[in-house]
Amino acid sequence: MPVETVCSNVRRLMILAVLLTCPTTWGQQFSVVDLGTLGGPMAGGFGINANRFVAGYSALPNASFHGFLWDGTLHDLAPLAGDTQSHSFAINALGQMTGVSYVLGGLTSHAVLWQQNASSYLGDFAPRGINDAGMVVGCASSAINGLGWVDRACIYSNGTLITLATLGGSFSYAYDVNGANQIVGMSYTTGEAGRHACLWQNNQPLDLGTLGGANSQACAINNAGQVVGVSDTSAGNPHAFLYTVNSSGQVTARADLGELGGGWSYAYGINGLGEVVGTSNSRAFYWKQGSPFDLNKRIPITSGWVLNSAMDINDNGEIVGLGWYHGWPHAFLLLPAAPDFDGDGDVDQEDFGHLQVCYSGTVSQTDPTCWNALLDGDDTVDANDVKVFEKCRSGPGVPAAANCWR
Amino acid sequence: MNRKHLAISASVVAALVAITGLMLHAASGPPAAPAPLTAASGTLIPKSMAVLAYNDLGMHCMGQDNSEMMILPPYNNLHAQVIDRSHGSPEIVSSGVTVRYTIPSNTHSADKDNFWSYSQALMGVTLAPNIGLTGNGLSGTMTPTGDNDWAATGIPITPIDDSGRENPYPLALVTVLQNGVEVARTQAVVPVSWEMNCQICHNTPGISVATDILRKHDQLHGTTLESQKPVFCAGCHADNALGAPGKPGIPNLSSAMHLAHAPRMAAANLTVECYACHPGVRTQCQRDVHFSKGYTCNFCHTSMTAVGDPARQPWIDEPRCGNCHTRTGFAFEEPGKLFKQSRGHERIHCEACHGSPHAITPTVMEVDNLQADEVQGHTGIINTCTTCHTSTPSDPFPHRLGD
Repeated sequence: MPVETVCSNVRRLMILAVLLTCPTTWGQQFSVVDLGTLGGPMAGGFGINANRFVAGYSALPNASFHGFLWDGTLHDLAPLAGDTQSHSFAINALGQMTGVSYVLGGLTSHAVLWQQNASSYLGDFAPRGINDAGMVVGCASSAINGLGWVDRACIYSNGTLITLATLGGSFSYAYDVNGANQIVGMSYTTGEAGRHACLWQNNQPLDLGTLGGANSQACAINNAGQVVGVSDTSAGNPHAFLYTVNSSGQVTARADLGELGGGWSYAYGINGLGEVVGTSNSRAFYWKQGSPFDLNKRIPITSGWVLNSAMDINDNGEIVGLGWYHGWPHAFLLLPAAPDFDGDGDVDQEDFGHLQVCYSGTVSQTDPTCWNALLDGDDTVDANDVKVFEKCRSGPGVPAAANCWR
Repeated sequence: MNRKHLAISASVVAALVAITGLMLHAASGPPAAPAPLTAASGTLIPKSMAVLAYNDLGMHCMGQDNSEMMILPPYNNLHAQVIDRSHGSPEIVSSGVTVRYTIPSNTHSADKDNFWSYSQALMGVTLAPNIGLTGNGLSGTMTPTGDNDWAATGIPITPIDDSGRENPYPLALVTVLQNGVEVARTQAVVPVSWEMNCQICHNTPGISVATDILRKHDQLHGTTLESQKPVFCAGCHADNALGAPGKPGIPNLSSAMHLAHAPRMAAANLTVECYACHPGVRTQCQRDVHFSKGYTCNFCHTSMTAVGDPARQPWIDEPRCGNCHTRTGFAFEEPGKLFKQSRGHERIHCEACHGSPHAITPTVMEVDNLQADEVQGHTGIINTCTTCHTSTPSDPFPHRLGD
């Protein structure tokens, strides 16, 4: 028996032995979909629901920006009459989308609700989030004597717009709301001294604090009360954070999610399973546990994409965001993919062969052709990746399940 | 050529045709009227102190992607003048107070632009996230300039606000604190855009705009820039805007760009040719009182060939208000200075009352008109004496410095 075969067999036995003892960890590769544009040179994806419907905006050939709905096809969400620009930012489980319609250089934004090919004007504010009950959050601008033209976090529900109190400063912004009507965003503090992540509980502002630094901002919240955003650390660097708040809005846990390099990271979205997405060092990242990982290492290396910012993730692990597609700024959709390395539709011994070739043990796998073998979320191809592979093994000729890793 | 490249090519051609059509249409339409009164009228009438803030240029351009090349980094300048009204005759304040700035809707940039990931490769500097080339961030303290005003330079703002919306006209809040207590505030636009429509012409299917530009540069000039990414244009081409000396024998950036493109723009037959590269068809940075009266870029800046004249000093040899405006007893720029540098009435900076270049008030955009409306109760030039004076003086208004 050739030495290589002996070594390969020994490695297989070792791997199998480890499988019996190593804890299961997650891992994921993705296929990437270019959502296209409305005719102009750029587009960005911002929100996704469980039906894989995407909210975002795109440039038109006339250089204006329009919001879009993508449901497999890109649909133009035109501005309201009298406005020239629109952006769609969020979509809920019912397919209701919210966003803004405006004129560049204007002081007032117009809130829009898009649903089933119809648009509704909600009022003069700039929406950013919507929950499954149709509550919309954002910010409303108004003149206040002595303060000037100020932006204030607001909620719109059942035809009523309510402006929320701040943490003492003049300005505040609401970015997301969960099923318990807990609203998150940012507020200036007294004397405009700083900006803190804020949670509005029963419409009352609660300071979520920071990771030790001066400023913070909350970007999203799920129904479990997990909040993500960005905070300055004690060293002054902006880091993505994950906080947990209880039903009273009190912070019960804080976590610095780390970064991919460059000293900074921002978390923009979180799903019901606690999976977080964002950007770090101009690379889209995913976080479930441990350290964030670069989503660029989880897509085919020949895709033509540089994924810049992951903006949202649904409970199926599907991710939307902004990136560079062959050098053009486009919206992307990442779909979980089984480790079908040879692309024949199944996950079998042939695919396992690729995993073996890429096996790196405790050493970081730096070969880009092997990044698709990094199944467990770290930078080494080892027994833990084999574990994930085994979860996805479908057998020769048996279609692979895209979500086998979840 | 595969189907993907054909799809890209078709969309780009469509964009080119549509943008060309739009620019021709826009050029033939009537000028826009100045924006009406804002809803914030009179909300910031000064008390013991007054503060007026202004951007220096009326628009700062920057690149959206720096991974292959960079023309301009994120870099913006905000100025303010502080006037003490509490002692009868108003006095310009250059010390004894703290002047702060913040941009509430736009508080971070590192996640919106990849400049921080490439600043070392492009300019040889490593910057902390959200900190610009001068050490200033998007919030901070302004410093006295020694020219009767305060400034924060190099603010690294991008045209994407914190909600993800593109907004080239974000409002900055400037506050003045005395002994820790706020005594004055104002709001002014910090304009920024990355709408540089290079893709109108630089649109080879399958490659990025930047690669197309660098490849053409290599073909025309025998360089090897495509293999040296990322490329900082001002590394070779002198740029007064950045203080870049360039290299001997190589034309300055303005001359190189304008002269190289002038004959090509003429062939494209675009009336508002500036918006092909300067922001832009959507941004409409030329938005001031002159625009509302039908004067477009070429009226002041003449032609691309003139702007690209190698003998011209870019950013220094600029149009002068006095070239057109003449009025007995009025001076416009100070001798040897540009409008943006000049002062008039008792050393008040021209921009403080009139607004920034390209945004001379009243503009056609509400945000530019906000400050005047807030501090004096109406838009347009800040010409209400009691903005700074506690009562309207009885003697004639001395517009000129030194009168």
